[in-house]
Order: sequence, then C-alpha cells, then structure tokens
Amino acid sequence: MSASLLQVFVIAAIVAWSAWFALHRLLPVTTRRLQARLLAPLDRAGMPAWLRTLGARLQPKATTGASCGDGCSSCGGCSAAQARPADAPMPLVFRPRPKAH
Amino acid sequence: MNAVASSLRIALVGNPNCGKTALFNRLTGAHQKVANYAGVTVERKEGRFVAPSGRVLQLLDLPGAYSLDAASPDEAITRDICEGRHPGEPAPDLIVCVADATNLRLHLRFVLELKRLGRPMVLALNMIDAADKRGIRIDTAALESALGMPVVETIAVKQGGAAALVARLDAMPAPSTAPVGAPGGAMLFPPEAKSIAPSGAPTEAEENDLHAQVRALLAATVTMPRATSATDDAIDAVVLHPVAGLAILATVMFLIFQAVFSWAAPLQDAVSAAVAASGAWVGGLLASMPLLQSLVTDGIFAGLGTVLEFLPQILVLFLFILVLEESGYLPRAAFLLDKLMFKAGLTGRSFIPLLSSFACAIPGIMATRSIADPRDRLTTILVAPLMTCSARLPVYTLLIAAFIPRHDVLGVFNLQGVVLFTLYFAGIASALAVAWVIKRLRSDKSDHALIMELPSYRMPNPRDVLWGLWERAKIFLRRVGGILLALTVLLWFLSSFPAPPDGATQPPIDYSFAGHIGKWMAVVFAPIGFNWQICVALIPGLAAREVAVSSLATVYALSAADGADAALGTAIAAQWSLATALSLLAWYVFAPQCMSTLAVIRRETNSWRNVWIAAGYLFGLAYLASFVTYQVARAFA
Repeated sequence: MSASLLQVFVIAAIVAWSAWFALHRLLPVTTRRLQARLLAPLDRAGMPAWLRTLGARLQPKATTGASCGDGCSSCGGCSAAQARPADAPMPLVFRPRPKAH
Repeated sequence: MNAVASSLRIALVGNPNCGKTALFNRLTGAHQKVANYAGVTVERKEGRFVAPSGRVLQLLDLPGAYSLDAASPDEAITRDICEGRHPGEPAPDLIVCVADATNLRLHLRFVLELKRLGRPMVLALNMIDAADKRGIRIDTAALESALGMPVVETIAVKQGGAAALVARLDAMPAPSTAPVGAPGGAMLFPPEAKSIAPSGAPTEAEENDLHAQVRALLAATVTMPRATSATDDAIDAVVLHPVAGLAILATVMFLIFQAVFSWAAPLQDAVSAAVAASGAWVGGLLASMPLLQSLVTDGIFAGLGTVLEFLPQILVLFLFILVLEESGYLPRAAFLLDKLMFKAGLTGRSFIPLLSSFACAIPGIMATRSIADPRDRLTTILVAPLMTCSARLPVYTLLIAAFIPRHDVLGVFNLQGVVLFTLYFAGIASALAVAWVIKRLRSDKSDHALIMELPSYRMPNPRDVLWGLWERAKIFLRRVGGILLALTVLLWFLSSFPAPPDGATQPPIDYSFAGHIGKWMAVVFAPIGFNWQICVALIPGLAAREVAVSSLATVYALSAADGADAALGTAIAAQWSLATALSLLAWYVFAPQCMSTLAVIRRETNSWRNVWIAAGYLFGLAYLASFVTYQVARAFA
C-alpha cells in the first residue's frame, strides 16, 4: 500500500470517528437510537454467534449520571457508575399565589 | 449469609452542610463535590462499600433538607426517598441521619422528624472534632438512650473518622422481607415513634412539640459554652459589615483575576513551548505524508495546543474558588449581596447557583433546584448563562493577551487583569440587569425572605483543594481530548477540502467548505466587525466555547503562507483591529455559545419556550453589545 493511500485511509478513519463522536455528544438520544437500529440486524436469530455477540457488545450502554448526554463533561457526573437511571428532572411548576388580604 | 442477601440499603440524610457527602466519599471512596455551604448536593448519589465482615452496603447520598415538609425540589427528593414514595426506588432499609455536632440545636429537630417515620435509624454526630474544640460536650450514651437509636461520632474529613459508623452498620441485622412500616416489618428498633401523615409534614402542634423535645434533649445531653463560635463571630463582625464586607468581597474578586494572569504566565509559557516542540517533532515524522502532517500540525497541535495553554489559568482560577468554597466565606458573600440581588429580582438563594455557573452553567442551572419559588428559580436559570464560565477563559485570555498591553495600573495592578475583571463584572452586571427586567415584566411579585445558614469558618484542607484541582484538570483534559479534538479535526477537514482550483491565487482555505461558509456568514456579522475566520470559529464554538480558540488556531494555521508559522495570538494581533477584538470579547460575554446549557434549560424547565427565550435574548444582547462596542471603538480609534 502506498504512503498516499495509507494517509487517505488514516485521515478518513480519523474524520469519521470525529464526526461520530461529535454527533454522539451533541445529539446523544438520536445517535443512541441510530446505533441501536443499525446494530439490531446483527442480533437476529440465524446470525452467527460471533456476530450476535459483537452486535450485543456494540449496543449503546445505558446512561449513568444525570448530566450524561448533555455534552458538558464539566461536573464529572458522567463518570460516576450508577446502577439505575438518574433522577428525573425537576420541571418548574407554577401555581398562582394566594391573594393577600 | 451471603453478601447480597445481607446487604443493606442505607440513606444518608440530614440538614444541609452537615457533611453527608463528605461521609459518603469517606465510606465509598467516591469523590463527589463537597464544599462548606448548604445546597451542594441537589441529586441523589449512589455508591456501595464492603464492610470489614465482607458485607456489601449500598449507600444513598441525599440532598440536605431541613424538614420533610419539602420547600424546594431537592428537598422533595429526600422526602420521597425517606418515605418510600420515590418512583422506582425502594425505601431505604436504614436511615443514617447525619447531624452537625456543633449545631445540634438545629439538626436534632430533623432527627426527631425522621424518627417519626418509624424506619430504622442511626444518628451520626459529625464534625465531633470541631465540637470538641469549641468545648461542646455531648453525652452520647444519654443521647442514644433518649432518642432510642444508636448514636455514633464521626469526623468525615479524617482518615478513619467513620470507623465507628462502619462498625455499627456492619453489626446491623439483615433487613426483613416484610414491607417496611408494616406491623412487624423491617424494624431494627422498637417502633416507639408514632406514624405521621403521608405528606411527611408535621402539623403546627407537632412542630411545637418537636422544638420542645429538642430543648429537652439538649438540656439533658449537651453542654455548650456558647451557642456560636467566638472566632466566627469575630470574623463575621468585619466580613459581614455592610461597607467593609463589600470592600473585602470586591478586593478578593479583584485579586483573583490579577492572579489568573500573573501567576499562570510562567506555566503557560512552558505548556506553549512543550506543545510547539511536540508539534514540530511529530510533524517531522510525517514529512512524507503532507496531508496527514497538515492534520496533525495545523489541526491537532495548532488547535488543541492553543487551548491547552490555558490550563494553568483555569487552575489558578479554580484554586481560589475551591479555597473560598472550603472556607465558608461564600454564604457570607451571598448574605452581603442579598439586598442588591433582591433589588434586581433575584434572591440570596440564587447566589450559590450563579456562583456554580462560574465553573459551568450546567451544574449552576441544576443547583437552582434548591430555590423553592419557581419564579425565582426560572429567573436564575435564565441569567445563569451570563455568569462567566471557565470555558470562556481561553477566549478572554487569548484576546486580552493579544490586544491589551501588560501595563501597570496605579503602579499595582496589571491592566490585563483589570480587563479580565471587567469582563467578569460585565457578566454579573448584565445578569442583574436582565433579572431586573424579568422582575418588571413579572406580574407576580415574590415576598422576600432569605434564610440561609452561615457555616463555621474552616481552614481549607490542602489535600481536598489539590484533589479539586486535579479533578478540574481532568475535566479540562477530557474535553480537550474528546469534543474539542473531534470538532478540531472536523474543522480541519472542512478547511482543507475541496482542494483549490488550478491557478488559484488565494490561500487554499479560501476555496474550502469552511471558507465559503465563513464568507456567507460574514455578511451578517460585518456590522459587528467579525471577519470570515471568526464566523467559521463561531459554528463549532456552539458545541463548546473553547473550540472557538482551537478553530481560530486551525483556520489561521491553514491560512498562513508556507513557513509562516506564527502563534495564534501574534497572528490575530497582526490581522485584527482592536475594535474587532473588543467586539468579540463583548460577544462572548453574552452569546449562548453552548448547546449543552440550552439542553439543560430544556430539561430543567421542561419547556422549549424557555430555551427559545434564553437563546433569543442572549444572542440579541450579544449582537447589540458587539455592535455598540465595535462602532464606538472604531469611532475612537
């Protein structure tokens, strides 16, 4: 393989990884869904065992910390291994105040 | 008995700032954030540890609460879990109620309220060393007998400080399979306590009864020379003074920004030299593959290397923030600023979330869960992105170092530090102004009452501060090696392809995808002085603000004539006007160049409307501020 062909392959691989990584950080839900859909055919009955294992391994993992998927990497919450999904968000609920008499 | 069968689910519960998370970290080996003020933990955290007997104990660290009558969303999590009403979360087998031994007058009330739930409990008297120093004597045996639950002494910040608690937990019997609270259920102690209403909130009569019980308990078991610390009172007399206190606060903030420039400079130069040498060496190895060499040198080393240079400045800033957090000074600052913040439409409760936003707006927005009033919470969420997060620091320091001379001001201050302080101040002032406008627009006016606990002053633990700095460095490096690397590579690709046509006279980047996109955008941004290179950097900068720096470095490295390899600061100083640089600084004070922040606003408010409001007003302010800055600077140039 010539040096120029090698560099094209290396660059293509790096750019493809970068595109996937950036998408994964910026659109985590969409890419997870896409990843699961793309890998689903590997895990069908009748597929070779090694392909099914590979498909299962490449399936997206459940999110851990509450900030996972936000793409911030700021609080370190993403690295805390947790066995259950994070707390539900705390949406704002407005209720009218009682009128002062 | 195997480990799983005998495992206990333990919840750490208590008033805010009593050391629950420090205890959680001590027991599980985790490194969750701790600080010397109330409201640091706003979510449940889960961990586990193995007791000396080999038994696995699951530990839940819950947000601090003053009562089961939850006043804010974070307190509601604690209430629901303790009462077994949290969706998908079984009730804990055991509640470890953590109480600050120096402040039992406040903390025992919640202990008694929790006891009424009828769940097995252990009371951990934390900070017992601080209580000792203040001459507070607690008759643990008498307290244990009076409360009808085991009482252990702990020092969460000290190695081995939780040994007594671990031994006690290890000796606990396994939970029964019968439902908790049912007659004959998983009670480890006699159910002498009466049950309470499902809401958990004590009635007024019960409340009075609780206070009477606390007074009786204190009289019988605690000897306290004085209610507060004499040292704290002496310091507070100065620090909380309406005039001297504000002067001290302003001085502290001013000194921080001076130090960011002066202390970090030698380290920054060293990182810069190391990155340049490594880039040249790696580039030399790839001489036979010019395209790959360009990716590595013009893209990765020029782009990421430029961002990496700002690590020392970020660490200096966080050194001060961590020391202030540990010392107990920050709630005092909130107290000092409460009047001003209220006039602007915020409350003192907004101070801690806004302060957290100086690190990153995301934890800051999440910290608003400690604000009970939803209107105050929404206002705080909307202005939190105006606080200067650490991701803005590389942009600010790059432009300041390139355009602002290192002159002394009044013979003492560094002009660059003064400008940085001004930018931080501009963020704070604009947050107050926006909050004031929101207050004027709001038909519903809040009552004002700030009830905030002022913690005892504490000498920061050097080990904790160093660990905090290490965590910040890891977060920064993870960003550099993750999202920044990915976006820099993509920008290099867009800036390098397609190749220029035959007979092209401009640099190749002018014919690339990025060049075309930048030139289309430049039409919109020309009135605020942005050239097409800046426009290109703004796009990936939406993912993370620092990417704007790496993107500019990549774009200018690719634009440079062959062999002209100047640092980014030198390149922009030669090609931009001062008006353009000031305009870009003004843009970064306001622009919501962070999609993650907008995503968290959506999640925390459960509303796209609030996201559009935030993005709209921030982009509008950014454009307006840049326009005014650019036109005024040009007029005076």
